[in-house]
Amino acid sequence: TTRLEQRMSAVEEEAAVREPLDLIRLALDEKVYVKLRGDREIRGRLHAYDQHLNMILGDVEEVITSVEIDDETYEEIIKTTKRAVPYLFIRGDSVTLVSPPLRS
Amino acid sequence: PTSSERTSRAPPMPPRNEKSLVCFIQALVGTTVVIECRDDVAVRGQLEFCDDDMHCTLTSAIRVTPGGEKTKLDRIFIRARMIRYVHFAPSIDPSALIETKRQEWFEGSRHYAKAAAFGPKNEAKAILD
Repeated sequence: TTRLEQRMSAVEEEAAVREPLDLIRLALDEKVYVKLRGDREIRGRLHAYDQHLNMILGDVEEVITSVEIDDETYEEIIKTTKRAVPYLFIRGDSVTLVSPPLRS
Repeated sequence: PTSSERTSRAPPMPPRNEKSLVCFIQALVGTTVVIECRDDVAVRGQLEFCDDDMHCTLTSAIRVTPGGEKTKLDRIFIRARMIRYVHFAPSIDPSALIETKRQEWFEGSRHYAKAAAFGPKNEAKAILD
């Protein structure tokens, strides 16, 4: 194989999607949707990640969902708390789901 | 091992912290961070030390419970598993910071290895290598 063919196959190797973590690699620098333990959802731009799913996200919006039960009517009130942070490091053991961006 | 003792030219293994993003937290040592814990307690302070497992110590810390109760602490140790988020100054560029720190650590370990191999008195020999 010539050097050009070797280099091309090396680039193909790097771009290959072999394991689930490679799907996250494809989402680098794009907006992702992350679900965390404790009914938390995060949307942000993925800057970095690792095999533990530790992540660094930019332009982050966090939504915390909590259910309150009214004392009198006993109905469930779903409350959401939102927070915007410019930059965030997330420890991977809280992450339950990472979703690639929606293509519009 | 000196260059003459190295028989197999194996590539040097990267240090353990470079295999995960904990190197970013270690790069934040010395800066002010807010660590939000899994029990919704937040601690703001200067990051004194972070080890390869992400266990952290903060100095001059303020600990805020979800109820809003604030406590001043000289030094606090946070177990790695308790960390949910690490907030840092938005002026920090993560990739640039990791690169800068990586260079510093590499230069530092190289300098240490040279001193160990050649000894502090044989600096001339070390420079030629």
